[in-house]
Amino acid sequence: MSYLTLSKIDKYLSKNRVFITVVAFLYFLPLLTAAETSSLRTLLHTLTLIFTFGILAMSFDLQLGRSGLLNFGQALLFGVGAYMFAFIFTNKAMPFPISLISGLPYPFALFLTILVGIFVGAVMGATTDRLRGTGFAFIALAIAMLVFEFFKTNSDISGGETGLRVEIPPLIKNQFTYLIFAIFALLVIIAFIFMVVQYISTRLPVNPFDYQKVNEITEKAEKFELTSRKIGLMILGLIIVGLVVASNVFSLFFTSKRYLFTIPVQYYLALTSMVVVYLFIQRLSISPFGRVITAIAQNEERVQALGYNTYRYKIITVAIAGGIAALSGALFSPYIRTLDPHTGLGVEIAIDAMIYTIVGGLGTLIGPFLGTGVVVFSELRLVDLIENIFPGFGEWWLVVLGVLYIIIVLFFPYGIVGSLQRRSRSLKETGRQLFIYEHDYWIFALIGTFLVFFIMFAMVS
Amino acid sequence: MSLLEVNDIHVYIQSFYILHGVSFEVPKGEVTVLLGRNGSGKTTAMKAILGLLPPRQGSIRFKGDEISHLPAHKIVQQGIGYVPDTRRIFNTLTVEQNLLVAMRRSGTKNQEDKFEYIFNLFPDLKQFWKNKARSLSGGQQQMLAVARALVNENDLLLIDEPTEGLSPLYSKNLLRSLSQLKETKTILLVEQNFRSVTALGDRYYIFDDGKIVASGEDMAKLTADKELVSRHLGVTTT
Amino acid sequence: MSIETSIYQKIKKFILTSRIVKILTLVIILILSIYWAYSQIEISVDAFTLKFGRSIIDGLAYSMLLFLMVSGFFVIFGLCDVINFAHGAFFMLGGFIGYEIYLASEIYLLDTAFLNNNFFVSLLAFFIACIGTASILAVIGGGIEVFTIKKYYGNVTSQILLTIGFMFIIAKLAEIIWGAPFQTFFLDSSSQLNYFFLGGVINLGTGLVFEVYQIFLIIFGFLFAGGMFLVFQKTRVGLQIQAGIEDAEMVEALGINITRLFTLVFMVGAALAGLAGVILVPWLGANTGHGTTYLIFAFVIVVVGGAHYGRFEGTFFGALIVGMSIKFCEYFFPDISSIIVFIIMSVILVFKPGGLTGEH
Repeated sequence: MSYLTLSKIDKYLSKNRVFITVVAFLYFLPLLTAAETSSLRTLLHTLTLIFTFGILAMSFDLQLGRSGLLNFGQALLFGVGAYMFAFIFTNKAMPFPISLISGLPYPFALFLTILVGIFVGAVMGATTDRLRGTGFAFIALAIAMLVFEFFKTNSDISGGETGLRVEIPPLIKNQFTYLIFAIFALLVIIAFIFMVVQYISTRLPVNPFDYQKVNEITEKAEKFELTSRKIGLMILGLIIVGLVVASNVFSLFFTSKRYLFTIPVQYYLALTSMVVVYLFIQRLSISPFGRVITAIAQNEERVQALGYNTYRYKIITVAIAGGIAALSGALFSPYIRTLDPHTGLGVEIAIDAMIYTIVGGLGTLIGPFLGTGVVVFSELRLVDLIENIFPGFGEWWLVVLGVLYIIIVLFFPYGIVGSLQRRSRSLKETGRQLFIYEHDYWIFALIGTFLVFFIMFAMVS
Repeated sequence: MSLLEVNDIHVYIQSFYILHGVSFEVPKGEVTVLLGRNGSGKTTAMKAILGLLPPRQGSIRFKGDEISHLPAHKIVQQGIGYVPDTRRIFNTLTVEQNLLVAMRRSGTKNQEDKFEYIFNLFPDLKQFWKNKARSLSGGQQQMLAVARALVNENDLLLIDEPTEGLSPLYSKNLLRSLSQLKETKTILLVEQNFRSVTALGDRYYIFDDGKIVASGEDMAKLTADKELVSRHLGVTTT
Repeated sequence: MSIETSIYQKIKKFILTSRIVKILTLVIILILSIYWAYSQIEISVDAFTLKFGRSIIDGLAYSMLLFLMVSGFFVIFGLCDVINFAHGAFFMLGGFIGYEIYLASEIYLLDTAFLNNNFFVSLLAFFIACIGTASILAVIGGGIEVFTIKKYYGNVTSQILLTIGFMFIIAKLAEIIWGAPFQTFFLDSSSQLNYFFLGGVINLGTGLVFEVYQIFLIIFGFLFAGGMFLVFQKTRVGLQIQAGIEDAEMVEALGINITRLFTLVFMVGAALAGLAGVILVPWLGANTGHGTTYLIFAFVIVVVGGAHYGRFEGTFFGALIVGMSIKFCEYFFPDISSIIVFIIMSVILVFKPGGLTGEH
């Protein structure tokens, strides 16, 4: 039994090397600092926003990229989550039906929010019965606009122009939550190390952990001595890193400054949600359900002729997307701290989600997240960057962003990930000529991620 | 010399390899028939000639000139009329407007004569001249689709499955009109149902899986070759 | 049958069968009868009638303006299948370019002094502004199509990103040049003469006052719609565009240069947006925020009119419905005036999922 699960883990690790590398890196990041003010904390703060909107983009991509449903009402699905959390965690007294949920514990709040998101998504999806294509897009937009106007005019529930002030949920400020995430992060890192060890053992002609065999050969060749020394070095490095991390966690744990936990815990929450959503959509798209919705996107009549109730599939898709978007909103609300109708429900959100998805590549799952990263990071940092290079031209940043979009289209007509995937065969071929095989990709993922974060870090500080 | 010569064309639809080196020719004044099952590449061959799906390799010569590199409208302007498989008439336009859209600038001088010629061929169209094309019956729509290819001085007509989805009576009428046309025009016809065109066709090519597997100059002989017919056309002649 | 009678019969048939003519007649009869009733009754106008009359004139003028703007969006969307997010930006830019051209040509015309009549100076300056803006926008639109969008027909997501990119660029550049949206530029207040040839009001007494420019807008809008209708029904290019909206590949297979047609349509669409922008300026001024506001209206009107294989008339009626309902609500139900458009759109889409004229 235990052997069976172990071999299952083994198999999973060897099949998802790139994924584990990147996730381990992301989980590792917050453990590197305990300082009160550091560029790393700023970076974590930015990344939290990217993860939050990344989830929103994935929800949009689930609809448009996999099921061909263009949903301009995405803002509402997002706003549902954001406002549910704002209602629960605001200190402003709310009118009757809303007051019932105020002060709910965080896990229940999250659960309830996702449920409401699914419900609203289902209502939106119900209109797909008669409406397709642009018809659906605009009915969804109409629903979103109605809710937006409702919140805008009823300032007793939305706080009017100033917006609602959202308190940080107690759970986020708690060091035990941080500890749990830190332990989880260590588990992920252990999985990563396990994967590395496994990789080395399969890539070398002889398993270096099979001591008997190694001893047999060591006498003959020096090569493996070198390898074992390498492994020793690696373990030493890990111990040093572990010590740094442990001391950081330890020192942070005994601080009296509770607010220090907010940024890493929010980061971990967003990261974990994103990983869960990623795995969920990945599973969904290879399941029979996922195949049916992809088929509906391609030719609905034919799927109907095969005896599927396409209407039900579309409702479920929009409902799932609604739940995911609500989760994104729920992460956003305690992050932004002040929620007004424009930031929570504005049409811009749907447009942004669409831009993120298209920049990254439609239907590529990881693309929307990458697109979010590129766009959100540019939006936050472009002004400073331009101001540094051409002083006085900071306000040109939106022009530069527009040019950036056009450049992206010219070089990646199917989005960054989408265009690379279309060229993947030739890229793989080139890789093979350079003796890089698929099971080696994780090394490049690690280097790439490291470089990307290094550049981001340099730009933030 | 043949009016149209297709030489070893390779055609892709996006990344799908559809035609694997097809060659055939259409002699002037004859009716050439492309036969084959659904999805064997006949329609693709037609679209390749028109330039709607330009071949990646191979040559297409029309009246002796290479046309495979030209854009679709230039190819058509050299005198090719196209009758597509699902008619594809313009529903929101009237019968008259459908023909006006199709008429090239050179044809506008003797417009009335052209229309007269078409009325002779298809009297129904005169009756519904100002009606929306949407309101026509299937057979009348097919007539309109053929008429659209006739308003210009075309030397070659590409006709894709003209009898598909028509009642037997209408098919008969249409085939009669086509045999009338045969006297003045060269026709390249795509058909699944080879028996409906045995009387009309001269030369034939049989497509299977993107290649030409058989050809001949006498349709009547094809009817006799039961083995060939059942293997590549999927019909049994009893 | 002589030629005269046949032309006469053609005209007669056109008048009897054309929907636009019917609507036009109905509207004229409506206005005349309201005016007649108003002049007959000779009682003091109560607040309701006042509001009603104003809402109708305002609504019609606004509808025509929307129609002018949306018709460009519609031809681009219909034929090229491109959702042009930059259309609102074109419209806004058109307003500013027109504003600048008007002021510049006014100064020039006053300097040359061969015209010393204020009316003609203003008229000529406005005419130059319209033509100039339309041509500049046509060049911009054509340039964008030829250099970028042309390569991406069929790749909807790329087109969206491209047009959004241009939207950002134009909107931000306009903001850098003319300032943030809280400032609106009006013609008559910034002109040398302090005068605009269609300025002023028609006073029907007892508080019923209409701006002359609104009446001009209504007449111009209907004439323009009629002209567009004729272009679509009678000219080669119009028929080709209409056929292309249905089946662009087939149009190509009939020997029509569809690439050129697409570029032409893009130029015309952008020019119409610019023209609408100029026409807006004397009434509501030029404002850098107009782009986004009107883009949403463009979307809604096209969807209401019939997005897929829709017809030109659909856009006209869509604009009429949207414009009238907005202005009507502004006068009578100000609370819902910002959402009425979406309510109406929902109702129409529920009963006619393809919009007024489109196919589902």
